[in-house]
Amino acid sequence: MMCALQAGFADRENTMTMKQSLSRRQFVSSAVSVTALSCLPGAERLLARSADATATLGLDQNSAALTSNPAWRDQGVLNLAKSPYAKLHSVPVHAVTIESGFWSPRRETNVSASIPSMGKLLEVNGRMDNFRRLAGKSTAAQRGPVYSDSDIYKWIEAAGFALQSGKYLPYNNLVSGLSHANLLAVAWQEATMTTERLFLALMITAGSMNLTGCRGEAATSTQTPRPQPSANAAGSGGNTNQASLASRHTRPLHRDTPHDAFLSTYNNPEEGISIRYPRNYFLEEGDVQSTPFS
Amino acid sequence: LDAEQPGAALLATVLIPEDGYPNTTFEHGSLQLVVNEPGTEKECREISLVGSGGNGARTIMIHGIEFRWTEQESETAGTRVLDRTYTGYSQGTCYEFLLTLAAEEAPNPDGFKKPADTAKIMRQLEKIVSSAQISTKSATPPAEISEDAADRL
Repeated sequence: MMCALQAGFADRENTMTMKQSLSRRQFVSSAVSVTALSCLPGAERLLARSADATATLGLDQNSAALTSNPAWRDQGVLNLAKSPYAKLHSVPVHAVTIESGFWSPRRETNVSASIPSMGKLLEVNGRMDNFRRLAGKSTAAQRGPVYSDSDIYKWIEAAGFALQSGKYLPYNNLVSGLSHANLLAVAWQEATMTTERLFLALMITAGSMNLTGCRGEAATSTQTPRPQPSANAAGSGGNTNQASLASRHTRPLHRDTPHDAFLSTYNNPEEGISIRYPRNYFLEEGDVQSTPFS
Repeated sequence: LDAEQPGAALLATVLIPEDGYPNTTFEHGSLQLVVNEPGTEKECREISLVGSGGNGARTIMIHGIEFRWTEQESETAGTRVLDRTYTGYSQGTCYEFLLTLAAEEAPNPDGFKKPADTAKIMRQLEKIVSSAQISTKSATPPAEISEDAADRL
């Protein structure tokens, strides 16, 4: 598929727009041709020449030399520079653009609102603390399900792709999230707010986290062993995210009226109290380590 | 919390999504449910007066239980913070709701952000307080639930 995308990359238009008058048959035909071409010996040089030609036409926004070691911004979803047996090669993330239609406004929302707010939520909900503890910078207890470390991996991936796409990100929010995590304490002090450095910082962060998948590394740290939260602790004032998540799944929701369908219920029978709140609000049960304005 | 109110326990925090009011100066909105026991009704009432100077406490009835509430407004680092505290006493337990609402003091000069309607947002939090139902405490712990029961995201 990545080879197929190179068709769009090497094409004079060099973008994939919703308005492009390219029939499905033409697209498939072109993709198959380039796929076959890219798998031939010397294909990189050939496609690179094509890309260079595109650049000379003033379309350098999406162009990138197909070298074996592309710059950070010209890398694709996968870096196959060290994969000698790879038959297919990635195109740069920024080589694919969506200029209008269904996804474009949603991608803008992702960049302007979702990524920054997710960064804050990772901090508020202790996800950053879980990694801080691994670096010896925090004694906060582990919070969240054991697999919650993947939340940060996904966030970094999203932020990285957005930056590669040439998107503007609200740097202050990102910087805040990262600096709070203390994962780049020294390097970050010297970093300026340039896109490139921010991207590199994200990647360094990813590297320092040893991002090898969703293995729950942060949650299963042995530096500060603590008992796993039990379901019995739910609602008793303890750190009960895991239990609360499970209990929320089992807690019946009252849906007496259409209005109630938008409400969730927090029920604590031990303390004899329940409240109802909008479903799109977040609930943290037990002691929260810190809130921004308390 | 222990330092401020020994014996108090934070049961739950309800947080308004930070993008809940896009393109406004809204920054933070939360409700915290705290219980304090054992305590007397008098001690419980005094909690609501802390920080209010003993003045301005108002009362509302929530499902037959009287809750006293006070509100404070402060400003820090360009952010206006509204803190409201509700306290009610029932079955030997002091129930507290701590409402916090924060918004940027001045809208962004580029005009992109509008001032947050803090009164409207506070009403959303008030509704949560009003939904509180206090019942007889149950000594029975919740059913045992396996950690594996939670779906992996």
